[in-house]
Amino acid sequence: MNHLKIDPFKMTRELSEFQQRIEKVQKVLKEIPSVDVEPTAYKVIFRKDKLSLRHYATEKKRSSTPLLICYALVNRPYMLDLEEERSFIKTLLAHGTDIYLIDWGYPDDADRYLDLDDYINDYLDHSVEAALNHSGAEKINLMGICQGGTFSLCYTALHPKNILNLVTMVTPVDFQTPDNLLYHLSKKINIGLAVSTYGNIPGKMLCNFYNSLMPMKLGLQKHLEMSEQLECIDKATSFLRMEQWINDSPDQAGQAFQEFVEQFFQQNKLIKGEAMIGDLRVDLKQINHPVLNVFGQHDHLVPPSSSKALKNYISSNDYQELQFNTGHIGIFVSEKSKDSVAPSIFQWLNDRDL
Amino acid sequence: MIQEQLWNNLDQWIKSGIRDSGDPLSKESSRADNHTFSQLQSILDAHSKGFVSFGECLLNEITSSHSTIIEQEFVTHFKEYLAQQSNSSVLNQFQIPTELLSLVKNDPSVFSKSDIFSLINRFSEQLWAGQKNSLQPDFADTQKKVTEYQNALIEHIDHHKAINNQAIQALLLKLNTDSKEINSLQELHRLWTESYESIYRHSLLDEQFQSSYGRLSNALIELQKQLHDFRNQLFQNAGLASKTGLDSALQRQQQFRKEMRTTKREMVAMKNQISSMKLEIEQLRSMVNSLVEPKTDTRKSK
Repeated sequence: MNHLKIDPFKMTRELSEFQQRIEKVQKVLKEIPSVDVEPTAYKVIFRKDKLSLRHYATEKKRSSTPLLICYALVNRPYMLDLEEERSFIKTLLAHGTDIYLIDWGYPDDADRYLDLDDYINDYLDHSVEAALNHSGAEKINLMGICQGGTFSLCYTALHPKNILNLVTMVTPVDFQTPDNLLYHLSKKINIGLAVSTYGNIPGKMLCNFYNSLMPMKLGLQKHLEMSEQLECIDKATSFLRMEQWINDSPDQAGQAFQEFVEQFFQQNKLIKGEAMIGDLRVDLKQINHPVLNVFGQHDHLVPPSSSKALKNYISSNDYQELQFNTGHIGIFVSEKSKDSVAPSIFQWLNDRDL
Repeated sequence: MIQEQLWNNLDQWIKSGIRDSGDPLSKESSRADNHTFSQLQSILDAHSKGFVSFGECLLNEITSSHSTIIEQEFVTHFKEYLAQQSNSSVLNQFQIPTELLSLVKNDPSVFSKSDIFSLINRFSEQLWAGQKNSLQPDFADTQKKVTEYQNALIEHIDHHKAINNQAIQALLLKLNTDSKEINSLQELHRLWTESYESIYRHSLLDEQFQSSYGRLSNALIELQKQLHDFRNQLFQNAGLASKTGLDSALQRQQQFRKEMRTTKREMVAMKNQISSMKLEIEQLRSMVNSLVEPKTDTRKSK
């Protein structure tokens, strides 16, 4: 242990400072009654069951085709508008595009048998229709995020006429690449048994599952280092917003969850052209639209290899990839997101506007 | 009398289900609320205590050995610390179902006896007190499931032990070979996390680890399913609506929903068809008219 040079005096001081910091943190946490998220104003223009479709209006419209964002069923879409200083939505609005955002809501027992057909051919299809009617546009730009990206791919393949341009962000396409940890860890789990036991899959269970991909970094180490984030109220509030989002994990409608895990993760049917949404088979070759595929270099949930596979399975002549030096979440909330991710996406869409 | 006993049992069951806010079945627990802060405080508190106590052990070691850390002692302290952290992480993720856990909490001696079957018997006695034997489920099956859960848990913890050992070896290698000096406990902790995650990631790709993870997940779900089945049985015995009944109603509702959607689609298609047929008829009519009209005109001109 040649390089372990811990001085006992310094170590005593370090431990005492650490304890003092923890005491300070306890005080700071008591001073913050609650945290607010989603600072950007929106109007709900359509509702169906638990789903609501939000409209964010830009003040200086520069593109004639509105953008519809399809978020994942896992976690909540306010990650895109967490706070004023790091709002992906606000940055896109500032560039001049109108945005529609799907909020899937919180499924409950009544939604136990909702399947992928309901989510894609019904809810997503109605959202596209509502956004088109509301905006008066003939076509829409569709942006899918993570699992929402997979949904968007299925939707575009099944209903190609409604879409002008497609943007996929941190989207799994090939679910069985060697570095896909979610696939490796989930492949021996009996999903049918889980769904028949719990009905809807508890959100907390999914949180635990994601954390088990990096248990010490996302658990112990993060908690030890968070005392540094919680020393002053501003930083602490910002940190707590993110914590709130991480823990705000809706339960997953049982049937849809089972279909997604079995067809996509365990059988990799999307790239085999065998995925079934209701009675419709998804053929990615039907996608001949301009496609922008955006992903994070350090994404541990959806590795770049999984997203990059897309180019091999669609028939688009206008396909572009953008890789950023971020992780799965950083791509939306980091400084880089504000400075380069959102502006690059807007530019790409604007170049292909009608 | 039996009915009263049943109601008591149900009441107890429901209470045990909601007692622990960490129960994955508690729907509201997954939503962010004010509890987040207090949860965060308690997590921070628990982890910082572990960290400080590890630091103090290491500090004692350094001071007693006059500023040099003996590798063997260091490894021992780290192993203890790690075992504690990773075991609590595994146990937290694969926590025994709340209904059983509540019994352990009420009487910790049940666990100290290491007799899981006495726990099951106690559980069944409480739930099925006053019920006819014919209405009671087969508890031998539950015992099998608990045993499988225990064995799977032990197997998985063994994997974590192996990961911990490898992580410590990787840490020692880094401490002996890397050029960067480690001057604080925090730096040491970070370096260990790096070593741990690298070994752990490698394990995730290992077929045996995946099987063990799957086995434990499935064993826990099986156990939970059994407990849900018991609850259903209790509800049915009491003449109440059970989850099974609710499930089939929901399934039927979903079927109607689909049928309605198909009907709507067909109606829209028929409407479109009728519209286009109307248009076609209009076109044919005007064609016919245009064929008829010139004759009339010719007569007039004559």
